[in-house]
Amino acid sequence: MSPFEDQLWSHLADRHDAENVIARRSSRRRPRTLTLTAGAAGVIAAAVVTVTLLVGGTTSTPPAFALTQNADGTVTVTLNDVAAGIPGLNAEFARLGIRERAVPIEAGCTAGPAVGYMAPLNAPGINGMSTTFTFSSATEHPGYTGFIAARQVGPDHVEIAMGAMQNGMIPPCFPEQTMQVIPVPGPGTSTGTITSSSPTTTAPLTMTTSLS
Amino acid sequence: VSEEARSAGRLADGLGTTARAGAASRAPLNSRREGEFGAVYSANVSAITSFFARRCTEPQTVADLTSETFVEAVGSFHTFDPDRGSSRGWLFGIARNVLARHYAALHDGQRMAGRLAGRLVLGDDGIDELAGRIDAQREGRELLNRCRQLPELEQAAIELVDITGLTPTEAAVALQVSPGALRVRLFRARARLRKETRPS
Repeated sequence: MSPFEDQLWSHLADRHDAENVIARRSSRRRPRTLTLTAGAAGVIAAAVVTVTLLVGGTTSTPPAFALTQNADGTVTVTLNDVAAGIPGLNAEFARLGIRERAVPIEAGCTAGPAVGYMAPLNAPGINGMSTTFTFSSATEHPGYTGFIAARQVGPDHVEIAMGAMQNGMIPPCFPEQTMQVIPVPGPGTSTGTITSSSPTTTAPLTMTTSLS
Repeated sequence: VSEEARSAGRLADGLGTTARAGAASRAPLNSRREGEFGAVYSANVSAITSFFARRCTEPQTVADLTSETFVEAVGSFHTFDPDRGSSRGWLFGIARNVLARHYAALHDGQRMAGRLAGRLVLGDDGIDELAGRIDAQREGRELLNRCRQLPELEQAAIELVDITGLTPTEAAVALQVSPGALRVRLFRARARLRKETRPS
């Protein structure tokens, strides 16, 4: 195959749609690992985090969202409806003291460029993933709040990307053009490293994620 | 409305549409069904890419629409029944829907790329490769213009059968008409084109 055809094939293999087909056909579940790049401009500290997520299925009448605190300290979130689920999910985060915020990805969002947390502009779009995922919160990282960027791509189908930013810097929405998700192959539990792309951040952060 | 949007419904040439044979059984898609989809991909990716290269002038757009087609294909592969027709007809049916949505978005002044599930960011090599494919379709775009007066279904029949190389049965699947109806429309379209090119 040509280089483009090879690239496209790899792209397909990394997409969760392909994963869903595989899961249906092979009756097994496989993890996906994504890297979200949320760069920074000016004085804003954004972060890059690698998160291992598990592609999950939905029921015929799924809830807008669900949140479970696991015994090992991780949090499992299901988000099936961005518009209806994010307010409730953020309320649950606040109620449970989990320093995370869910943020919708919206084509018309202008908040992103205004505050300057730009990912590479030559890589617009989100190539996302699942509706159910498990992670450890960013609470262990003082000064930072984790974010879950979510975009509705179909009924009960939400693309997710994750990252962390300095407290108070998470916007009400993310524009599609400012984020990039790079699939990283490799199954199993993984630890992602949050590294700031801002010169104002003094120390790298670590976010550990695990599979449910 | 851009040139791409104005190009809706045009036909194209047959360059670069030779189907590739053989399966692509590649990690991490290594189950039997994954191998089946790999075979479908390998056999059709070139033709699908050329289909969009005939319609679009931007390599990134060609990449996005090709990617979108296969993202949709892999997502619905479990519904594909080979007993009801070949994968080529099935895939071209998806590709035509993707293209129709692209044109609709252009017509509405929107950029579809930002909303595509299959967004594929090209590197320099990919841009060069697809620019070459687009350039190779120049002759086809001229042919496309010649056929613009034909009804849309006849244009599509000519493109899929005479240019892309699908069998009439495969084209019928893509166009969601009966093979008999497809053959009738194809016959009419060819006759009209012959009449048009005949010196008066």
